Amino acid sequence: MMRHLIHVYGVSITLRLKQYAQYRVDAWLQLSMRLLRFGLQLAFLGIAFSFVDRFGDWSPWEVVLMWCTGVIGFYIQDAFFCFATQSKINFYNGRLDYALVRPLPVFAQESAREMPLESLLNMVFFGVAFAIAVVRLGLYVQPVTMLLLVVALAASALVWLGIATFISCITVWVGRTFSLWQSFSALNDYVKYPLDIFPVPLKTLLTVVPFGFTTFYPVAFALRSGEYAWPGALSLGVGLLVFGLAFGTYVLALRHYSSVGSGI
Amino acid sequence: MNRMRDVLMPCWGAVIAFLKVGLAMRFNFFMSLLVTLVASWVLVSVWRIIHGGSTTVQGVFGEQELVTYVIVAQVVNLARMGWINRNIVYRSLRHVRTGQIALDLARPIDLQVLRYVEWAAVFVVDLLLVAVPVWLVWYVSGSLALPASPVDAVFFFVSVALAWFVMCGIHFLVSLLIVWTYDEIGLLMVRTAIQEFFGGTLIPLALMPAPLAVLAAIMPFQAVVYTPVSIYLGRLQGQELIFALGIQAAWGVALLLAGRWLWGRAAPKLEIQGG
Repeated sequence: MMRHLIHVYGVSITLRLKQYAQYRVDAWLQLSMRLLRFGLQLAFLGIAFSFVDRFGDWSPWEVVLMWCTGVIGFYIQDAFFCFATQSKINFYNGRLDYALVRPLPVFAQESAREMPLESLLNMVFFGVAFAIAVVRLGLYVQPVTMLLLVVALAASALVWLGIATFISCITVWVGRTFSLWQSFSALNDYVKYPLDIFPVPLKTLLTVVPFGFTTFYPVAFALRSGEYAWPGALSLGVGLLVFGLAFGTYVLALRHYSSVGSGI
Repeated sequence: MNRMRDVLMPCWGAVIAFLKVGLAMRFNFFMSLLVTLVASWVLVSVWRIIHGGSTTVQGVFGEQELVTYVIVAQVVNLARMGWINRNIVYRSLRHVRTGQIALDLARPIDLQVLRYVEWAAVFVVDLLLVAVPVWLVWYVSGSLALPASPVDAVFFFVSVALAWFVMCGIHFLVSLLIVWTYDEIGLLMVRTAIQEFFGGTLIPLALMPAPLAVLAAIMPFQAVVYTPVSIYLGRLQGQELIFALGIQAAWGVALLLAGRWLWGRAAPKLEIQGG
């Protein structure tokens, strides 16, 4: 079953990449636009660090590492599990029937149907910046730290996957949730800083929500495990918990799903 | 007189209709309000750190002045993500993609006028449900200074109205570009990123490196955020202030004409069955 699923996923993604290759002008246009946006995002950090050497206790490359972890986690979710964000449309319009009658898990087959170029490009750009930060910080010679950074990326992706899945699935009960998801994803642009430079109420808010586990805590644990032992060590657990709760909501949503959708 | 009434009545009807739609979408604006509050809180914290550690920044802005700049820039940020952007940009772009634009073309109002009218209504709702509450929360918290003087307050509102006029021009041009690009998400993302960066929402233009500041000065985006905020802070006075307002008006007119010209080019390329 799993092997078949991976095969279907692989074929679907290959077809999508071939499609992008055929529409070269569109792909180049998208590439240029994402590159421009990526450049502007990092330019903000560049200008900020032209005034100060550090944000609190954190050097520029450490902050870049946090930014990239948050962004890559977000786009792993969007590129490989797009059903998490897009299912709210299916739930809302009642268009999930097509997937329900096929002999594969709905989540997997719907996620394999699309691989947004936007997400792929962002993963590549921020992946390069992540690698540069790792080299500049000399982390590539520290296997444990590298392993913890991989765990940080996984934790970040799991938290985002959980948030996206949960927001999509509650569409079954509450109707439109587009603005809720858009608000969460818009905040992604603002929550990539080290949380310990923020006042306590803001830090608490971003820990509870739990954006802090998509960037700061797992990366801080990888870089300075002593100072951030508890929240950092818990990051993967928080990711699994958030996704677990969201998946439970997904199972309930599928049971409550009716072909007419919730948008009538 | 009758001719004037024939033009204005459909416009008024459109404003009322779009106002009702906007006010019915209260939850969307509530979410936009929360995002703007958190975003401004994060940016204020970041800029406080930068201000505390940089004599260069301290030489340009006092701490309260910088904090006020960051907050007011978020308040007047007409490119903020949320319903306002989604409604304005996605809706226009979707109309082109799906061919629904045929209905807009059949209406008794010119398409460009219709869009400006629609965005005026959205702007008013955003002002009431997002901008004013954000301003109030920050004012009550004691972090935000009032406008430098009552006269500055009056010119600030004039400048915000002109910023809307400029913004409509930018929106209209972007919404027409989809006729060639067919990529609404990319266009929206890039426009937001460019606008927030070169408009002075994230970084005051006075603190930008010289080459970028020059680039920002020759773009229309500074007329949307940087000019109104500078007037609020009392940084523009006398002839400078009048000149800045004149620049805003000139950008508004230039973008209006550019939109007219581009619409002339885009209209023949429209596919009524969508694209």
